[in-house]
Amino acid sequence: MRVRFHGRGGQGMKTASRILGSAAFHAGLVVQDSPVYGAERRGAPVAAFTRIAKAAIRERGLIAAPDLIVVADETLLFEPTAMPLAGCSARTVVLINTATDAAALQERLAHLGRIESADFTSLVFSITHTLVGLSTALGVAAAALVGLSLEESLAGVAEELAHATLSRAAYEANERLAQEAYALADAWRAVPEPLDASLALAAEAAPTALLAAAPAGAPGTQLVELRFEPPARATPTICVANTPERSTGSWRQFRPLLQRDLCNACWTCFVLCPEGAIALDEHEFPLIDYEVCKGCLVCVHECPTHAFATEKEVR
Amino acid sequence: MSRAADLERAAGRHERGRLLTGNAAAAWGASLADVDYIPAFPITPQTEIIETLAEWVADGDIAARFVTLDSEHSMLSAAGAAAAAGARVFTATSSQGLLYGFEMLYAIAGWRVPLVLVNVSRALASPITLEADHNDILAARDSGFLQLHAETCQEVLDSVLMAYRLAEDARVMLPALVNLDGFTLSFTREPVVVPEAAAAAEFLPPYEPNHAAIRGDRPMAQGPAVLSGLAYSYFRYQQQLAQLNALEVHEEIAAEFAARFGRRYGLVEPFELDDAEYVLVMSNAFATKGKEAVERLRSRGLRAGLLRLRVLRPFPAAAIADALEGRMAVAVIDQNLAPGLGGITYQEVAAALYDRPRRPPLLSVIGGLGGKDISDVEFDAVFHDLRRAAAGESVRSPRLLFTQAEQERMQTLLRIAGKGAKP
Amino acid sequence: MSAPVTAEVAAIKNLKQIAREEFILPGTAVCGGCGGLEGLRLAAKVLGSKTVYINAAGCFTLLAVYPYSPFKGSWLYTTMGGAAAAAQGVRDALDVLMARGKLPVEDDVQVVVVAGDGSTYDMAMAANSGAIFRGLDFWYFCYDNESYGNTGVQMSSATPYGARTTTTPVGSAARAGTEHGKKDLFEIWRAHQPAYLATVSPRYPVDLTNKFLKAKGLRGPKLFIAHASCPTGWLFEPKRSAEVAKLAVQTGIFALKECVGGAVTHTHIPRRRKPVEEYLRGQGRYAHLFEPTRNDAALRLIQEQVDRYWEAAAKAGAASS
Repeated sequence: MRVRFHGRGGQGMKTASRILGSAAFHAGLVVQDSPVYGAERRGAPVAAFTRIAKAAIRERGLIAAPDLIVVADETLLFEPTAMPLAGCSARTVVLINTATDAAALQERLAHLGRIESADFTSLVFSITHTLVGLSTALGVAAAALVGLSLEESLAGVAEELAHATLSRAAYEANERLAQEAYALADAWRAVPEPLDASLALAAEAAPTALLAAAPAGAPGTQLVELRFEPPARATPTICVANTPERSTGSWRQFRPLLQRDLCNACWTCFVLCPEGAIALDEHEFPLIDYEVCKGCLVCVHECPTHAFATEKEVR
Repeated sequence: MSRAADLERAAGRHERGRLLTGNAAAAWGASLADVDYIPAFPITPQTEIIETLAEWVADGDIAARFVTLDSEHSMLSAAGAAAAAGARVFTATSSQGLLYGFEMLYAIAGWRVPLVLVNVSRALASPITLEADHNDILAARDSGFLQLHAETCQEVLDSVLMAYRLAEDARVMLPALVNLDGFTLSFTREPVVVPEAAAAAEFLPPYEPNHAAIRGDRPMAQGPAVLSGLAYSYFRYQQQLAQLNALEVHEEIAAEFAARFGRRYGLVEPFELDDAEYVLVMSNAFATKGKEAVERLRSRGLRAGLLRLRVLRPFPAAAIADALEGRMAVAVIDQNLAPGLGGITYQEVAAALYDRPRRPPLLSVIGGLGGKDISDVEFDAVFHDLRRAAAGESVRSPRLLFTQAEQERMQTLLRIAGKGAKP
Repeated sequence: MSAPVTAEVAAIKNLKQIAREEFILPGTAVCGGCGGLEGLRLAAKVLGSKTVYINAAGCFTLLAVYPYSPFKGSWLYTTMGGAAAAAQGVRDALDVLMARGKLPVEDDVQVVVVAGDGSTYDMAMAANSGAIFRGLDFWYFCYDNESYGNTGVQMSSATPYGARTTTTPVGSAARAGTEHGKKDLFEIWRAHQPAYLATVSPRYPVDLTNKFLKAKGLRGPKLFIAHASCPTGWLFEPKRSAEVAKLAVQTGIFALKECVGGAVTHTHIPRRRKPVEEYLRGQGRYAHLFEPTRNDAALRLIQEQVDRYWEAAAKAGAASS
């Protein structure tokens, strides 16, 4: 069983992958879990992996062809730097945290396998009154989907929360959250093809370098010979100012919106935007470049005339 | 002595050269390379190089800027960054200093900037000692720097000039280390022919930094993080390909150097190898002693020979295998030690020979650690072992060159240190 | 060393005199709401594009990640301990290349070290001291987020007393978190007699701009300690980044000052200082000082330190109006 979690920095997907891992370990299974670290920060796409098996796991690193994909943030679905559905096959189950229903997503995503969805964010908020707890909800939901019991799942949560210093009230809220998330996901197990049938890890279907000698024609799998290139190319230098092409706007979870009638063109937001994502138009009104605005909302918070509204991003 | 006075004294004796230490020869190399920048930091036995250059800069004899930094890490940071800015840079260090600045070696190689760093080999602490062995320079063997190892003071000077040509060649574009042994070369005077400045300038034209520079009209981000195995693999492996190119480029440069200056340097240097049956492999200054041993044994009728390793990076595996294949027996004398493994260059020479059908028995010998002498009897013992190995006898390898007399002297030291009599 | 090279630069009076052009473009990989980036971005508006930033390993190493760079100027990533030494190499190289006619004078650039507090206060202390001692003509921008931020918020010698980091966790045997006080880098640097030395805050852009403008007229080391409010490490919502920076100044915890020719001038004096609690409360790194039980002793200590600082400043007559 290979499970891949996708979220944004700060959403707790590393913890979710560990809750699942600890739960499975508690159930007596062999487990391997790991996050990927990159340059990216809070709000940037991140991933984490959990492998579960009945015997020794002879795999490392990335999971290219998962059995279960958990997407914590629906805005990632169309995010080219995240590509949460990469390596999907018809037997892959995709669990998405969203208010949109699964059938509608099925059509939009053109995914042949199962898609399940629920608004875990609202569930978390209704119980903990914060956005902290998504890791518990999704870790437990994944545990239910792979066939672990409620008791095992709660043990996984307890194990992981032991590392956090939580107040008694927060701890209890988390437990309640875990129970509800489990119940939600447990209902989906009634549908055909329970995931727990695949605890023996089959060889990953994904192409790897080791397979290069095998099926001729599999695109991109042939080993190539790296050639010497002249220093102008082979020196890691960057000769253009090009970060705006990175589109860090996809990190944004809330969008600042200028209400022009309330703006007095005072420059505060332009000056204080840490990223420099705000320019000024010919009347000195701010122009936010949403391609790169990370949604830190300093502009909203600092605006002396309260000229900005915020809106949750839906992509 | 000032550079002007030195030149004056040398006038009219060009053929015989003048007496220079290895350190002075290195300084002459930097001077003839017309370097722009010399960041410096003192360490024995290198200090004379930077003192000499400081004096020449102070006298206005050379146009370079000379700055004393606060550590070797800072020195190499300044050196690499100045090269990244487009200057021709020379600097020098030794031993602990090389290790103190060590992370910068990989950084500079990764920036692909072609400075020349002279290392004056000195054994690494602890315990501390000041004379030569090669654990310092060989620690840098995987850094991406080119490495040229010199046997004579003449070769030190010539290698500095050749190192700039090699490093700055567009087919290479990597920094270079030139190695000379502490004391046995650094403080040893011997005749050195100093090339005419004009001839050196023709051999080594000015550096044109086309791929990496810092200037207002060409903004460029250098050395950025890549944070991916993909990009890292590409850039790091380009260093390997550039190093391999350097094998061929070196031969071109060596031919041109020979044509201009009459001294021919190969990737390796064969000595009495034509008909040699029993061969020593050595590097650096003690190779001179090895050559003497070869001649001595030849006079006694043994077909002895020596292969001197000169270019260590890139590693000239084919040249080494060609030179050693088919011999009766070969001993690699390593003036270094990888505890738990043995001699370092032995491993590399063995690998070079591995796929040759007529590979000879290959012995590993450790000698000259911390600059300890290698005496005639020790060379004799090595040749004795070679003959036994050729006859199919089992010979201990690696073997440390350490005599009974030395063992006794060591016992005396132990007694003085309060360790009592030998149990 | 600190002789002015150009005439006095006119100070700006309000936000609208800040340059509209950006010299560090958006789309970088650093955290949203980064107070350090805000400071650097404002500084870059004074420095312009003929600038090379010499970077020490830290959060800002993420500004240029291959194949993307935000800089209209140049960049050289070095190591954690050697950025100021690399700045020496670059400055010397440019000078000698110009002197030897190999670089047109108009293509000269300003050399700016960009380093975090982990590098600046700890590993690079000697290299920095060396560069300043040698009178190097360079800028130093230390974005001080009071921890090793890029490795996940560990204690540096810039971490203030009472702050929790991952290596100074709060436990029954360590109630305050960090038990050391913050190293006084300003005074250490001041003892080196640099041409210019200042503290800046991202929430005081006019003050920041004026300090860079003033330093621009001086040759020699021009050193800036930039308070870098850090949502990720200090544990507050990114939108409060500027507010937290402002509270640091209003409570007197972070003093805005400069030093030219040895004399310290406070460029902004909070007339009625807010209690330090107003700054501390809003940051998760200090939460243990309030919950589950209030640590009065620690809070009192922090307040007293601030009070003592400003009393001494007033006595020294360093405070100007």
